[in-house]
Amino acid sequence: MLDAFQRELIPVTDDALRPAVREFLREALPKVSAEQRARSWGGFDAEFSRALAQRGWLGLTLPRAYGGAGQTAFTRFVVVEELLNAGAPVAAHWIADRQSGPLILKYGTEAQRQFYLPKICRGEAFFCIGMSEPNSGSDLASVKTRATKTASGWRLNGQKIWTTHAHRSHYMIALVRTGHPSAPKVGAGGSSESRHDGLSQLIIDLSLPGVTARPIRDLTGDAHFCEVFFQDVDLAEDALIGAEGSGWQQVTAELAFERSGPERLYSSIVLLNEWLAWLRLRGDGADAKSLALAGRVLARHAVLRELSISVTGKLARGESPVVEAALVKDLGTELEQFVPIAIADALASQPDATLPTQLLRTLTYVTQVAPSFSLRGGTREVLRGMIARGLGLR
Amino acid sequence: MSETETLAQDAIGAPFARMLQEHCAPQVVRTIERDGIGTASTALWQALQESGFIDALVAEQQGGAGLDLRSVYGILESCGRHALPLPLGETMIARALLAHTGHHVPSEPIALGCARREGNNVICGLTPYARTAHWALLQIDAGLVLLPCAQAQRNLLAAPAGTGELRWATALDTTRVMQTSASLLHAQACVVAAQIAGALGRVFDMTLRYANERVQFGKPIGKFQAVQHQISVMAEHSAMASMAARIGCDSDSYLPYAQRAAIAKAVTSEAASHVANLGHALHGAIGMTEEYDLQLFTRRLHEWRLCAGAESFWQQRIGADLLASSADALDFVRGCVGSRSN
Repeated sequence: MLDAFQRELIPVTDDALRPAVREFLREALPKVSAEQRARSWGGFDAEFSRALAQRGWLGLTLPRAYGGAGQTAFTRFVVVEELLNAGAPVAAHWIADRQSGPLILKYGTEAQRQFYLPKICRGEAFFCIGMSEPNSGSDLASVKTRATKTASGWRLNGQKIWTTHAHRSHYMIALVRTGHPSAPKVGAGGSSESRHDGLSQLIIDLSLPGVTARPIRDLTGDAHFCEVFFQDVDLAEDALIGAEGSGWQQVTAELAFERSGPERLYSSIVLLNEWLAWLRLRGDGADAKSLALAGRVLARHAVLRELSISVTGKLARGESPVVEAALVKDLGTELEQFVPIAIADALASQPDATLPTQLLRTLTYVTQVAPSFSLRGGTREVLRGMIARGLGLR
Repeated sequence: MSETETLAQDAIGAPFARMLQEHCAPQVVRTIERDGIGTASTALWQALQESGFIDALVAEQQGGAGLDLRSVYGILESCGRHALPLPLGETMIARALLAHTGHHVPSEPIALGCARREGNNVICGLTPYARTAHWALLQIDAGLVLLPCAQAQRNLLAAPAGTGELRWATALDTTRVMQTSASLLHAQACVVAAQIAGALGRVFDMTLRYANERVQFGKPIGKFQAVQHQISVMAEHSAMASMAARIGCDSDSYLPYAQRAAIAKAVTSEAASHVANLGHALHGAIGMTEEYDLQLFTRRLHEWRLCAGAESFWQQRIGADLLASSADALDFVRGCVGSRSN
């Protein structure tokens, strides 16, 4: 598996997009504080997303026939990297652009593609992901939300939780139970195949009667994730995306998109750059410990970015690098979480230091949200289990 | 890297790896560790010489293959993967440099090092292959000098270790110093980083195999989640080290770019001790024995971490470069590794 990471180069034509994106960001984003920019892919701004869409930078990898740009995963890597590096508020379109669009393209019917993809590319359809439930976190196959067949389609009952920006999204792609797990083959627990049977993915219009989304306040005071209730929600037949009963395989493929992007390296980037700028401003020169810390983070960032580009190359060739993406995400989030911890120590190494309030507020925000970096998109423990399976240990 | 480049790299690295499998089995490594320069080391060096790989980096007009560092990455990594007890990578660099400066190129193994003068002594500390090299190409002041190791006192780190200090108790003949703009430190950092990546890969492979074979509590220990997670961490750090070392060797000449070399050695050095420790933890007591091969690689990982600057040396250099620039993290990283001149 280690041979799976070949060094790849971002094509020159894609890299050439950077100045235009930077120019756009300078104009589209008024002076925003570092503390605010540190929210990046948690920051929701529908206007900003639509402005990006007007430039043609949403749905970059989707075919032109559906309103996309017909570009590659590398093009998206470049644009996304620039957005994250600037701390742009990308949350509104984030899920649709990253995974819902590609999922609909891959598994949707022609009618579903025609309906959803142009809306995604115009920044008019924001998506959220309905995976976790109150009793189904890492054990995703245990979801209980159920859709039953009706004369006209599906009737949905159940509950999702930790659904980011559900209260502001138009659609949810949810993993739900549409059938029964196969009869247990061995022992009482059943084999993993049987647990993964009977799951399907549905596209839920969140404006329908019976859907309630309630935001849950997080430890920083922000409200982005939600609990979502479904009470006798009637869905049309074409709410089903992909094959009935293939939800598990589809979710697995979707997670390769979710885990492989540059975002797993950039959650602390605003803080890092603020700290570097402050070190430069100080004038008295950085101490050896701060220099080593800056070098340690940058060296690792450089290498992980190359691993991420290597995974992007696989996506661009139409592969589904599930294990590689898990490996890069685990390493990336480790670095993202190291940054606030280490910068805090460097900043407070002198008890009498005078430090800029905005830098400290950015540090505090990133420190508080950092645990989520290795929770969202699959916990560290789940990812390491996947790597072990990829190595043949399971 | 394009498909064709990858194939070209394999076309050089794969036959070399097969050659080491044949000529550099663990028992050969042990014999050379026991004897130092002797029959076994001479025979192995002769096989390496006959293979032609030692002149891979020498320019074509000087009789070599004229390859760049990127193309020989597979060779350098294989040296680590097989615990080759002779300085092949170093000799390849030294031969290219000597040929380039018009200097006579000796046929024996050449170590690299950064030396300093202390009174009438020339001292080169922490030199990989101090034990088995016949020559040492040293950077001293702003120049290069080739000194015979037979005239040096060799202060080795431990009995079977290859690494140690070389000390010549004679004043330097300054007429023999060649002027150069090349940085031996950076070249050596890249060679050692690639060897670390290779040895890490070997430690990882051995540990994965052991976890599948060793049965405790009625099942292979690799079935236990705690063990699986440790092996996953080893895989992550091995992958990271391998990518870092490739970055270091990503150059269109036989010498590396300074910042890429810095990244390579900083990241591989940190991974070296981490992966070595995990490999031993998972092997238990058998991994501590002389007869089991793990130690051939973990001892080298710790030695190589020390050579050509450990992680904090390079981290400070990278940090100083970064702060001296006005670039943010992304642009700095892109400037270091992001593009290639072709």
